[in-house]
Amino acid sequence: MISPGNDTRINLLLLMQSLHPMGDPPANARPDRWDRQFGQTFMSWGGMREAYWPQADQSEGGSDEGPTCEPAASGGPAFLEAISAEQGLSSNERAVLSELRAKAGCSDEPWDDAAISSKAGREYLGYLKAADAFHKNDWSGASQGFNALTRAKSAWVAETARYMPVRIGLRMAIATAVDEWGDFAGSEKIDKPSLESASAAIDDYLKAYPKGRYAASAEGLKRRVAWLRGDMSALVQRYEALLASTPGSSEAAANLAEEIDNKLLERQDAAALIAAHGKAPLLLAVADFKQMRPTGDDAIGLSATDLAAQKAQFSAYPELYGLIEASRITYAGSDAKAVLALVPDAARQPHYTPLAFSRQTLRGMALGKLRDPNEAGFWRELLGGASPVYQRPLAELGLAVRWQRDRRIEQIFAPGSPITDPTIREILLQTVATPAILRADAANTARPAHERDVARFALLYKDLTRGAYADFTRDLALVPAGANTDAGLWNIAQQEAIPVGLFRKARWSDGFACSAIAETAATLARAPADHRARLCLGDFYRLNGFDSFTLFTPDGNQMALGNGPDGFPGKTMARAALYDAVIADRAAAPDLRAYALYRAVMCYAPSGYNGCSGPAWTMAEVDAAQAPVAARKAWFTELKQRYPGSRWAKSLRYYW
Amino acid sequence: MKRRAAVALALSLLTGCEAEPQPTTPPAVQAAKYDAIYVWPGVRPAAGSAAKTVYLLDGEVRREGAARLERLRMGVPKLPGRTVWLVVRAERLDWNEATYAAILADLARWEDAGNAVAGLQVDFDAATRGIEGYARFLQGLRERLPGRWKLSITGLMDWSAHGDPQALAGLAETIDEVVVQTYQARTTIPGYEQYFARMERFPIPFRVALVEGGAWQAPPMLAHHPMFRGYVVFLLGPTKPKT
Repeated sequence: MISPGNDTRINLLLLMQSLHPMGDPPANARPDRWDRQFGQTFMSWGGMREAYWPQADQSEGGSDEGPTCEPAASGGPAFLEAISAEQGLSSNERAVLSELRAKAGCSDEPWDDAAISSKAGREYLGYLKAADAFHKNDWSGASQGFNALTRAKSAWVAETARYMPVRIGLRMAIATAVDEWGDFAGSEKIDKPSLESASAAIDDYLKAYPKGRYAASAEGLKRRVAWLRGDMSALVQRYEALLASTPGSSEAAANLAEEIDNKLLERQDAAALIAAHGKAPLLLAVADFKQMRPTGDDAIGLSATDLAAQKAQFSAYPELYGLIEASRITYAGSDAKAVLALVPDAARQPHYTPLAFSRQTLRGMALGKLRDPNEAGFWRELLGGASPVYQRPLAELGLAVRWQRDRRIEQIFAPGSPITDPTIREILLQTVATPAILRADAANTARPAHERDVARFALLYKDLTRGAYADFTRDLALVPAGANTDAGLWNIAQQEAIPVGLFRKARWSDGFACSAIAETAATLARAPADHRARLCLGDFYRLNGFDSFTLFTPDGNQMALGNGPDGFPGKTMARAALYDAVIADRAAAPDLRAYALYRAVMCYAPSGYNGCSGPAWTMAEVDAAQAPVAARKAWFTELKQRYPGSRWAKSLRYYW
Repeated sequence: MKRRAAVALALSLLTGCEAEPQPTTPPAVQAAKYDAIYVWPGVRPAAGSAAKTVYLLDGEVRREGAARLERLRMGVPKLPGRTVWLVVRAERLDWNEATYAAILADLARWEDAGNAVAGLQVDFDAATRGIEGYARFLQGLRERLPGRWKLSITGLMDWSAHGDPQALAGLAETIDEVVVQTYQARTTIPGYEQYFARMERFPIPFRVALVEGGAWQAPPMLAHHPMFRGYVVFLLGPTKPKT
């Protein structure tokens, strides 16, 4: 949906897609095969480009030839095509010309051109000599050379010669406008006569060749001229016209979005420039969304008064203005009823433009805020016509959050549920799902392998940490043969492979004897307070990266997906608590109690903060997990005095 | 700044915190205190910046269309008295002849303008795209690069933890330096201490890239790591004032 939090380029593209409705992109489009993102619920600009205009595999390949010089390596094919199509050349001349082409701009050797004698041949030779001057920054030589060729008999030479003054003028114009960093030093440093000659050359070329081979480039260079001149008003006008005319289904729309973002919207004064222009509602809309972007402060960056003052500019786009108004109210946290009044229910359509869908989604969010009894029905209606890419997942998200708030998680995972987006389901599996839901999803062959792995991992992890040891030993059967063990635990919500195999094959011990976690869990199932098994459980966490690991942690907002009562019973027991329990039993076997003391002290090495208490989100939580320094000293002292012969007492030299 | 662009959060219903907060608030990185900086186009270092080493982004090889160097700098920098690295950000590895030629031409141009050019740095996200193909690509690049220039690459922090150690060892023969990035967008990635703990045996000379204004407390291991070569601070453009 078009939204303040989006990358500006995404909003630009969605706007173009709204003005020129397009068919759905392929439903099976994988946004970016290298980056899961958040499925198709949330996306990056790169992911979105990839969904609509997928690029071939570019991970390897390319050229194996030795390096050549740049002018020869670029722009070659057009010249070679031209000479091969040219009737007036002999085959010998073609061969010589193609050799000479490789030298143009790349060599200071004299021209070995005696073999070129035909009229056409001399024209192509003249082109190469002018291009050679161009690449060597000899502007007057290049200009003279190309000017002499504008009436060449060869159509390709004549047209190219007519176009080159544009490039020469631009090169000359910016030569004076570069600062010590190689960056643009500003319009005031531009060589103005050269820029004006480039501008005139563009008009001259387009007049002679309105549909020529360089016409699209020349049009694009008009914008560059405006930008170099610092004529932002002209630039705003061109961009506005292009936004209105470029079909959102074309890759040109994506390129345009990038250009507008780079050349205009990234400027600090972009909003003021667009507002000052006064007739650029599409750009104004995008700038408004950018101003509403959450900054972490309380106030939203666009006031109701400022927006109302823009209303007249949006007279041709009332629905767009309504979207901006409703977005402003939504993100300012104001009255949700006002959103309902602004956006009438239109959720029974077979198809939505991004603009129409965004409006309806805001309506759904307002219904949610008001806890309207018809909210779930609204989302279900919206699902009916939502595009599978980028729309349906968002409508599912609205419905899933409502059902989560209504404590109907089992309905989300019931067979035939409309909540099919794997990202949404994976978040709920990690946060609120019951053991029964996790088992069923892990076993559900209709679901994607990644989602089933998340279900398995969440189930086994919670079995262990919540003390459901007997369940753990049974649920291990859900781990498939060959399950991943080395993908790491760095970002379980987004990583490609989920290391479910860690529960079967991992590091069990590094000095203190422990068996596989399956046996440890079986012991704990029989005797939950078994000291050795507890210490081994601690070592399993410690040796396999679980200390600061957490499943997906939802936002504190009550509308946040995954924020609800956990359907998995029990309370998490972190590593530190395992040691506390063994230490508390003064009758524990000496070698076990000594190890518990050693590990309890080591939890604070070397930072002085407890690294065994599980993840913390606030300083208050960090502080609450701290044992007083006196307690840490007491563990150290007791280990040294009571178990002086133990290897753990001998190897510990400090406490922290 | 668009590099490693933030996920677009339409409804702000998702959040992604993965690591513990820092026990104490580490100091914010001040560029003036470091001797090496990253300069992206459009960013102007403070007047009188004394940075001795400058990593300048020259251009990008983007995913769209045929591979080519998209130059992002209008002209040739002139930074006498400093060491300059030419940085190319790559979204793909199937470079063609024109791409290599353009980069080598820029290196030569920068040198001809009187700069002390240390070499080429490739900024590519190998962490998600796999390191094996990248190693082969870097070998090919090394062969094309005249010997007077060094080859440096950026690395995301999870590399040393999840990359294949064999492939990493192979890279040691090919590249001269890795710059380990500790930030995403404008902030330091939380939990960086854990990443560095895994870098104990990192076999390649490395610098650590910090983001200007980000939180940073040097992990103790850095001070005595034999391959640690210092820091590079990524300069940010001016932030948007509230209106």
